Amino acid sequence: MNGVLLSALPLAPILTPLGLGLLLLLPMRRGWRVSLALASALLTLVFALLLMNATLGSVLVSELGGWKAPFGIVMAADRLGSFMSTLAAVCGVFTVWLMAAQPDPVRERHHSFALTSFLFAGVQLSFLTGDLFNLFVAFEVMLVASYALTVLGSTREQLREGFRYIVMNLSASALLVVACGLTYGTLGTLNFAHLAQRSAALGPNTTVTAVGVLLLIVFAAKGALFPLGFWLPGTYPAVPPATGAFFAAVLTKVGLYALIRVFTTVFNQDPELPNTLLLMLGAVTMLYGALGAVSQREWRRILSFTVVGSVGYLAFGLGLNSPDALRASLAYLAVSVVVTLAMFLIAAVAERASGTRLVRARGFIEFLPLLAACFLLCALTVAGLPPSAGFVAKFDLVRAGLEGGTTLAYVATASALLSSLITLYALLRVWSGFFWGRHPVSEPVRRVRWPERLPAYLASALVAALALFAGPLLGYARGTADELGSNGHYILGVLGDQPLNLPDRPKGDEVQEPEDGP
Amino acid sequence: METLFAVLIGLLVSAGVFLLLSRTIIRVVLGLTFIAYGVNLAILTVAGLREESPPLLTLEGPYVDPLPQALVLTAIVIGFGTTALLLTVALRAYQVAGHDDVAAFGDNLARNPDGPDGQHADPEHLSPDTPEADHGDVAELERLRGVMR
Repeated sequence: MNGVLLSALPLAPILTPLGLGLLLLLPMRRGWRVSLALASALLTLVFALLLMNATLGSVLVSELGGWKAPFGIVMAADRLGSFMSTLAAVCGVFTVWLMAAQPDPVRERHHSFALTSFLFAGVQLSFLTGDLFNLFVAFEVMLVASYALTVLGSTREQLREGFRYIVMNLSASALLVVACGLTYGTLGTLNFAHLAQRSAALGPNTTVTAVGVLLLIVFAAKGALFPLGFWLPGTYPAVPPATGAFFAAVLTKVGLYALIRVFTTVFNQDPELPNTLLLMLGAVTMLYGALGAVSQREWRRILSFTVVGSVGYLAFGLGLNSPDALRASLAYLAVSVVVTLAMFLIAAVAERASGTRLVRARGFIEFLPLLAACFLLCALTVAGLPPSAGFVAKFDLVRAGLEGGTTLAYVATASALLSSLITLYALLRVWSGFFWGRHPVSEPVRRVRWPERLPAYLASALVAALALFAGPLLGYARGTADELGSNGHYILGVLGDQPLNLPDRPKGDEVQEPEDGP
Repeated sequence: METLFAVLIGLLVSAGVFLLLSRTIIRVVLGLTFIAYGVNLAILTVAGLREESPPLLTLEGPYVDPLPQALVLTAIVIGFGTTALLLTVALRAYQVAGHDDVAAFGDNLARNPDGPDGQHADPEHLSPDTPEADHGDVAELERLRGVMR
């Protein structure tokens, strides 16, 4: 590939769903609309894979309008960004497939396909953007699309949960804007690479740490860490299954991605306070997610709580702040995205087959034996038992936790082990409640057509593939963690090796040269 | 000037938080708007506030940093969009639930999700997808047992 194409590549996964999403707004027949949405998702996946291949050795930068890095808006793709972008694109394909397989005339008339496309564009933009304010814009693009999808159809439940979701996220966005403003006021730039350079030059600084903690609160709210994640278990089950699968698999991970980006690439000068906070929040979130999963009796509510739990594991891994822990969390991130997707797709089939959202239907192994097998595999992966990719990733996490050496790290590790056990109990209860036993004759069973079942099976196959290819996955995660360990590579990639000649920021009190003449 | 702005921002945000904590939907929306305006003023303050220094290079200097003003512009546009959306959702929630009391929406985690809140909804705006009442029958079940085995 030549230079022009390569520098445009970080834009491709963003512009594809955005442009084709705009086309989806045109009035057209359902068949056309489905094909267009599916083509858009597949094309995004192709571009994301190309991007992942191209970023193995270098950071790809798109300068919008040809303005150089710290002055203009840049899209920067490093290994982390393209990795996340690929994961999101994979989830996108499955989401569109399930949406196509479950016709929903009311929502489709109100452009659910186009909104989903805009959601993909927002997610890709937040993974690939190179500056803090653009991250806010990307969050808003993504969240506005998700607000609309949350309330689309306006059932009572959707409106109730959607309103809570919107108000929570708008408040968090206001905080993010304040954090952007304070960052600019302190360091005089918003570009990630330039911020990293300037905060390194400034050294450990309390103001920068305070801004970092503010950002941590914002991203904890978006990523549903414990006290700020109360909206999640209500909201995700309220939306239609396909959309819910994408929300659960990807949206919380965007907050986690932002945390990783900010605390590894940008503000890595004074990691003490943020790491302690992350460890504490992570430890509580894991337990909260696991106990919440036990307390529920509906398919997607139980799964939503496991999503909360997985966010806790990631915060735990990030808070340990060692290269090994970072590798483990990146591997866990991939496993968690894929297994959450698979679980929600399985739940969609199970709810459709039993006609109820409760898990106490009994005896469905008789009708859907393959689905029962897939569920068992995913349950083992979520709980982290061998032989699954979840075990590999969680084992790595726990080992990193034990190597952490502080009391807090030990407590968090204990919490991780305990909550894995509780999650296993919760999911096995689902198994025994829904699949095991003999089906009562009085209860209905609906036929689920193969286009609806197939995505669940394929996603479970992906989960199994992650277990088989755990070696390459860990290898890739190791490479990414090494790259994130020192931010020199990213800074060099974005800003180049030319010394920057920046004028001082005008303070407004410079003396103006007097004009010639009287 | 900065002190004045700091006080003003504090007032706006605290009024916003006060309204956000109330039970009426429209007050919550107003509260978010207040917070958004406080936040926008905060970014503007970051640039430095001088009456005699314009952000435009065509006027006579000294200049203030124009970037935060561009950021505020973006934040205002996004704020308008989200507020409009939130108002639409609020209106729809009022139509469907029949009241504008956030607390009376109840906590869904313990309840039947499709059950009414004990209030009458606006009959002209019933929710478009009522759950289908389909219970199946025994013969169908036996047929499925045969098909899916």
